Amino acid sequence: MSGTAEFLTIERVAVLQRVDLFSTVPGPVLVGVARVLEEVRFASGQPVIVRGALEDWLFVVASGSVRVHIGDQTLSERGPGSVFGELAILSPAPRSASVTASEPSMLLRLRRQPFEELLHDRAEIGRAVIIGLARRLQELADRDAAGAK
Amino acid sequence: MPPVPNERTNGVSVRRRVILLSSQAFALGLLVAWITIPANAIFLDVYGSGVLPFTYVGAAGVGVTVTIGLSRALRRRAMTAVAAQLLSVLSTLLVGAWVLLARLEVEWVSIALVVLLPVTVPVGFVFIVGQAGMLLDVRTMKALYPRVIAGFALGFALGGIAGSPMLSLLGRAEHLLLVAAAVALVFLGLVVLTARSFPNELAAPEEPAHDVDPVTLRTLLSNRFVVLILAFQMLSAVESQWLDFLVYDRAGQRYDNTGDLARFVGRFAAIAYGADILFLALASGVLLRKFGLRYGLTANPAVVLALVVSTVTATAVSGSGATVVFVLIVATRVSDLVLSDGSTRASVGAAYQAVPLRERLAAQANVESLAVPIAIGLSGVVLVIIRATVGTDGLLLPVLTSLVLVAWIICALIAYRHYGANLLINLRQRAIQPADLSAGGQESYPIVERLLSSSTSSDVRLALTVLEEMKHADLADHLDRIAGEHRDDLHAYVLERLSLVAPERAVIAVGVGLAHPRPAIRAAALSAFAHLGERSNASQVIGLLHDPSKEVRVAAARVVADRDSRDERQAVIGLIRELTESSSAEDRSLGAQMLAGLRPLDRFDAASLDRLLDDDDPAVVQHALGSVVVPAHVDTVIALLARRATATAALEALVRGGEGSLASIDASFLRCPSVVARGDTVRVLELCARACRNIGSRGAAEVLARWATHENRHVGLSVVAALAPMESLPTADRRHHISRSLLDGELTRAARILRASLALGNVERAAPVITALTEEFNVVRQRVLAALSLRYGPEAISRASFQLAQRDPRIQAVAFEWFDVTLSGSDRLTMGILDPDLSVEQRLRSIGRYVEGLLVPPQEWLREMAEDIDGSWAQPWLSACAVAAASSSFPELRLDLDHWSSRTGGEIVLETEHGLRAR
Repeated sequence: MSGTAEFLTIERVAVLQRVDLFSTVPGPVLVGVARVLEEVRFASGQPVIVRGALEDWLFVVASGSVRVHIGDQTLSERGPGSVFGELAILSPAPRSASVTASEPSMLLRLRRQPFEELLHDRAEIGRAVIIGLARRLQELADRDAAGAK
Repeated sequence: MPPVPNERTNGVSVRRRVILLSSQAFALGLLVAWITIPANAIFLDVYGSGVLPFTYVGAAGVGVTVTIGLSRALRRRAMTAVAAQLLSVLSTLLVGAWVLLARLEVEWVSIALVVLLPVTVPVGFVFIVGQAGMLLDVRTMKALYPRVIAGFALGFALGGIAGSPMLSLLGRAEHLLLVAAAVALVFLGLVVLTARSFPNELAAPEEPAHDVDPVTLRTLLSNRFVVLILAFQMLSAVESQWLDFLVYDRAGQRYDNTGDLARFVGRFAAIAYGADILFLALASGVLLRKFGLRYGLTANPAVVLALVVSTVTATAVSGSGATVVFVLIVATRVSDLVLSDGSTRASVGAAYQAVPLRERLAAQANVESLAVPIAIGLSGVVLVIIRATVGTDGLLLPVLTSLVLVAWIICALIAYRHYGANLLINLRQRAIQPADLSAGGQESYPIVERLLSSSTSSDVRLALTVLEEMKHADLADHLDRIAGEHRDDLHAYVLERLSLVAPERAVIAVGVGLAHPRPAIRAAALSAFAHLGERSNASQVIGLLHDPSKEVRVAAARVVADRDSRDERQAVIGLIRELTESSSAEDRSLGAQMLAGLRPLDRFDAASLDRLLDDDDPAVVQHALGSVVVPAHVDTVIALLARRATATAALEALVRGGEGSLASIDASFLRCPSVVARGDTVRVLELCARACRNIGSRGAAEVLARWATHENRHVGLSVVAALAPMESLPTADRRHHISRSLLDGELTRAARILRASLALGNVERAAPVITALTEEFNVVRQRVLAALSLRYGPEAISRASFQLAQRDPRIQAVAFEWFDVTLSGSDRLTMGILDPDLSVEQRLRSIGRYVEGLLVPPQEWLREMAEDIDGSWAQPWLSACAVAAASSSFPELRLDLDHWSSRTGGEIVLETEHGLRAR
């Protein structure tokens, strides 16, 4: 894992705009988030998250791809623009699955503390996070309702 | 002209829905044609047109009976199931009629068929309109419903054209009834197919909750809008029936055998419905979209009125038997039919969408299949009277028709006025009525007693409130008893009530409370002390200024400060000073709280307050802000708006200052340093705007009105949003002027954003700049809504825009329809901004008048946005995105960005440019 900055702020914002959690945050506000992101590079096969670990950051895939798995069982493959571990910065809990780089990948890491500072300073980010979570709840409720039928 | 909705329920699905509904309407048209031809021909030949009015009265009776059954069935079962059952019955009846007429020569059956005809069409349309209401949203209905009606017209016309050859082929008119019975079964098949294709939309109504009253005729008649639709449809039915009668009456006089009459009926149907189809195919939808519901509701009576007046004139000049009069009567009826199908039906179908969902089906069933047949019956009674007196040959019937048409036009205009208001009510979906709390007399006393013994404080409060309302003699006893229980959560409330009901008992209870070991009870006793005044002993209170509990000390300070004794107040001031100078933040916070309890400030220590407002601890500042009396500290208070922890308390302080705060607020707006300022500066001004709204005075409204067009777009948005609900803004003209000025600016900006988006749409790697333009467009949208709120009221705009943001396209469509019928003049252009489904090209077309200049190539747009020489884009983020897009797509483009080093927010532009150059 290495961490030299390669992405311009504007490019990080472009990546963040593809993340559900931030999709309703205006670009100028995301500049603040983009500036506290860390760039981390992973080699192919290098673990990104280990199941059961207690960590308070999320990752956004900027380039490359990662495999989400429990043991040998692959749950999904995630490519550029996808996010994982996002709930950890809002409600910390042990990681529920492992994530390993499938190829050389550049990830953007957002830690909890700078994120909380941004939440405090910029109401738009808090609002967007609430909207994002409300949408997820709505989708779950819709799925439950569809299942009930 | 608003664009056609892009088949928003999703293209294929909408097409399938319209095709199924049109097919049903086509089957209905064929069915009606092939009942009309044999029924009218036999009836007119055997009985003559003189008996026709009686059949209208009979139709009313049949209509009432059918409606009662229909309404009951629709309350319990899915509409499509009811339709299927009714069509089976109709098919059987037609076969029975054929047997009676063709085999047994029972000619009176033709009377029954003629009676059935005026009921078949509206009942058929109850089902078709009802399904359309469930399958199509209101905008799609306005645009595409004419196609459904065209199905009916096509069916009727083809039925009429095919009538003559079929008569030759079958030999007897009666045999057409067998064909009609088969068509009824096809109609049934289509209804079943539609129900199976869209089971969720067409499901049976859910059982109403037990506490929801069923929709009765009385419920419907209490809705003024439903009454207007009912009157509209009744007047329409009377007019159509009289015109229809005139056609058949005069035709009966001109053609004297069944064959000729049948041929006339066939040709008439072919001409009428041929014209109908042409109108529906070529003009109906376009006219409805362009001129809206007002045209849709009034076109039919207005045009027919003109033709009826011509008929009256021609009759007066040439006599009633003249061919020109007959031609005019036929032309009038054809126009009536064409406009009825091409404008009235679709408009009434759309108008039903403004009826609350719960009442909609019942309203449709009652209006279409009860009111319409009754109107037909009434028209029959009038005809019978005219025939029995002056006769139907003269001018009386056309003149009466003119009067009905005038009444119909008036009714249409009133209904249109109510349409917008009802759409808005319907946007709420459900009105929640607050329940009244009523003390039902002595019989409720056992419930009150149970509540009084509850461990939940809200139950006890409710019981005490009920006893107060009842002016119950035991109230003081209950209060005294509960005061003796010393409940932390109730004591203050109980002592306060007791001091009002029985002050002498309260004095004793307060005395006990002041010495109670629990701080909450001591504090509650101190609060009650103020209500008792000098009746109570003050010496105990002074001692409590040094109570170990913070809560008690603050309460004691409040009591002492309100007393007239200078010495006692000085004791409080000394204590506060001591606390405010403490090194402990908790002490300073307590001092601030005690200070906040004291009024007026000038009796106390202003220096302490200054110190507290400057404290590092936000909690101390928050409490200190509670003591601020502006204007003495107004600038400090405005500065404290920038700190999140103190913003709310500072806002409250500004509002408390009222008019005294306004000059400084005004100056703050003036000082806003840059059009691109964001963050703290903008937040402070947003809160200043909110303070003005909460102050609410005319002066506050004037400050906001002055800054409504503030050059910082985010500040301006907050100002307008704050101004919109203020009733103190002087005149509607003023609101209109501000709103218009804002809308002009926003539409111009929107046109520029959209042109840039369109030009950059095909540029590779321009996605970030297009996203930034979309965000800018969203700000335009918010500002447009704020500007519209100024003119049309914030509540209505807020409700409609909330519905517009829903995912369900049917809800969106109702909201959009509200905008369509509410916005007037050039405000209507904003619909091109608000409609969530339009493409960039459609938006640009809809605001065409604001689109200026020639086609600009994409690289020039990027240069303009990146450099922003004149500062008109005023968005560094957008400029940075443009720099990135220009660098990757047009590397040869040379940009002049030096001026960004001296502009607020320019760092992101320069960072992007330098970063890209370094690669």
